Amino acid sequence: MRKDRERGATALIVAGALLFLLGSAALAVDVSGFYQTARTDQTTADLACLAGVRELPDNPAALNMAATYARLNWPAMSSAGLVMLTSQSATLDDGNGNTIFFEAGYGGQADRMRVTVSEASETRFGRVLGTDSVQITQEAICSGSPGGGIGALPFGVLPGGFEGGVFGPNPCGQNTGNCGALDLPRDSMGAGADTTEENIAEGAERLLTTHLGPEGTTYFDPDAGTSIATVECTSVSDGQTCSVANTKTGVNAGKLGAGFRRLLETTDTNCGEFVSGTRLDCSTVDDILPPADQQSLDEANSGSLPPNWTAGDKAGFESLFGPWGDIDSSWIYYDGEEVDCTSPRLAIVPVVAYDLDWDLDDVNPGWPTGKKDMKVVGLLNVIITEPFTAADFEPGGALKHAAVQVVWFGPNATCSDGQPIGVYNGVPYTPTSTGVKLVSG
Amino acid sequence: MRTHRRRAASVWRKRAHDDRGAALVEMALVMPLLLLLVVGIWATARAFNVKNTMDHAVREAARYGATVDPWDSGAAPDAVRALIDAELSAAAIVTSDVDTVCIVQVLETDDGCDLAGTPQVTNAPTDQVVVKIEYPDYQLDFIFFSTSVNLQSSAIARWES
Repeated sequence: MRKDRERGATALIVAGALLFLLGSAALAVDVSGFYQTARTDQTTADLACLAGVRELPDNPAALNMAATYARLNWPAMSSAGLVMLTSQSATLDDGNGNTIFFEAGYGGQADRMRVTVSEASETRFGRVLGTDSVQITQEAICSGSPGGGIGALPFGVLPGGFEGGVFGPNPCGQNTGNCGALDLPRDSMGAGADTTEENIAEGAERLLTTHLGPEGTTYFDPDAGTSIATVECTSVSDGQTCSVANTKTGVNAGKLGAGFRRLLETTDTNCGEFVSGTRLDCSTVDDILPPADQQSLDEANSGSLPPNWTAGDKAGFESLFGPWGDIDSSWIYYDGEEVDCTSPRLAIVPVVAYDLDWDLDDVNPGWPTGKKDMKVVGLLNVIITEPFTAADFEPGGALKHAAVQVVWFGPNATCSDGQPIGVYNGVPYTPTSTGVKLVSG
Repeated sequence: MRTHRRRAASVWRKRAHDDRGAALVEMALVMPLLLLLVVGIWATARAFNVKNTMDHAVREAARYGATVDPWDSGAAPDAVRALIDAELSAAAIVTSDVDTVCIVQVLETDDGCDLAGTPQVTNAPTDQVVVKIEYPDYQLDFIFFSTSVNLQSSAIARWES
């Protein structure tokens, strides 16, 4: 009797198990489809964000560019029009539940952008249960930063004390106080170490102009076509005939490290993640300057002067950097074309003085500790050779050392895009190139 | 004779109530269905995995291609393809099965690249890198039958160098 009562039980169990198995299979297929949708949406968000962020801080241009690349990567959006919501946000909507939201200046930061892709991913089997689609949302946040030697690095190089063409090797070797950084103010920031980080990552915000001689003397400005009387400069400021920068006090090694990582990770496209402990073929001097056209200053000099130099140039040079012979074999002279001006390693450092006879009389024998007024007396084109590997950073991220190779560009030196390069008449020419990176995506 | 018939009927009656072997028969009936389900799930998931890998590969490759400076139409596509192959290999996909449809830096024209299927947008920027790959006739094998699909992935990145 008991066996008779159990008749059909197996069939029920099998039916239940089959239902479960079929449901699992259906779920697997549908969920796989959701993942697939998420992957393609992430690609759309990433590539749109990276395309748009380069236009910042021009918000409308950034939003339009991002929308263009969103359409390119997502066919469903190719006919959707961009609707501006505010001056900083816009959306694409195809009317079928698929939307893309663009936000420039994301998080209150002018160099950031967010792209949020939301797609109604159709189900294959879920519709049996009445679920026709599931909303999949992916977002990308990216940031842009100027690269390519924009502005100047906030490091002072002392004239005459610049041996071997390399500064450092340890500008922050002393962890108490002044470690070689300059206090170059930024409009939107205070005077803290964050400003130093920002000045490394973004380049100095203001033009640095060089002091040309004692107050009251004049120099001929070839651009203006007039002679200008020099005045004593009192601050870093546009429009003056020279700039002054205070040395930065305090322990800055952490912020220096953060600044260099931002600069190099963001914009050195040959470079891997410093923070991961390994590097991936960062740009070298030879990557930036075609080796065939590199010369030492001595070779270019050939017993007289480099091309287009005058005796006055040489005299001025020696007044800043000491005897010609001390440096001519180590500085690169480059007068060719095809300089990779997009490399963030191509930078400008100010030459500063505190003890020239036309300085600010701020001589302090205790140099380099303590805060000093440093007069900008020259600008040098350099290639940042260190930090180069993760080993140049402390485990906590502080910078161990930085070093540069000085490059003296001849008058014919041009960037690979045909633009001129270098420091002209004391004002750094700044090639425009933007490095971008995904913050999250 | 009657005794023999009775005995035979008794054996059949006993056999009718004997469950031995029933599970084997049921299993034989259900096993093909189970196999179809299991293999079907595996094959479908693998197809999604392959497609996902291809999508990821083209996205990485397009971004990489957008940062190659200078772009050399002779060398850069090979480097981009090498990156794609590395991604495919990591997912155990035979790289020779996946064709390159197009790896170009689109400047003034499409450089002869077959962009069929790639969305075209009016006033699209010309400084871009287009990467498109295809896995033709990807086999979905369900034991008792099979079918094939063409898997395509493309990504378009803005030139960054």
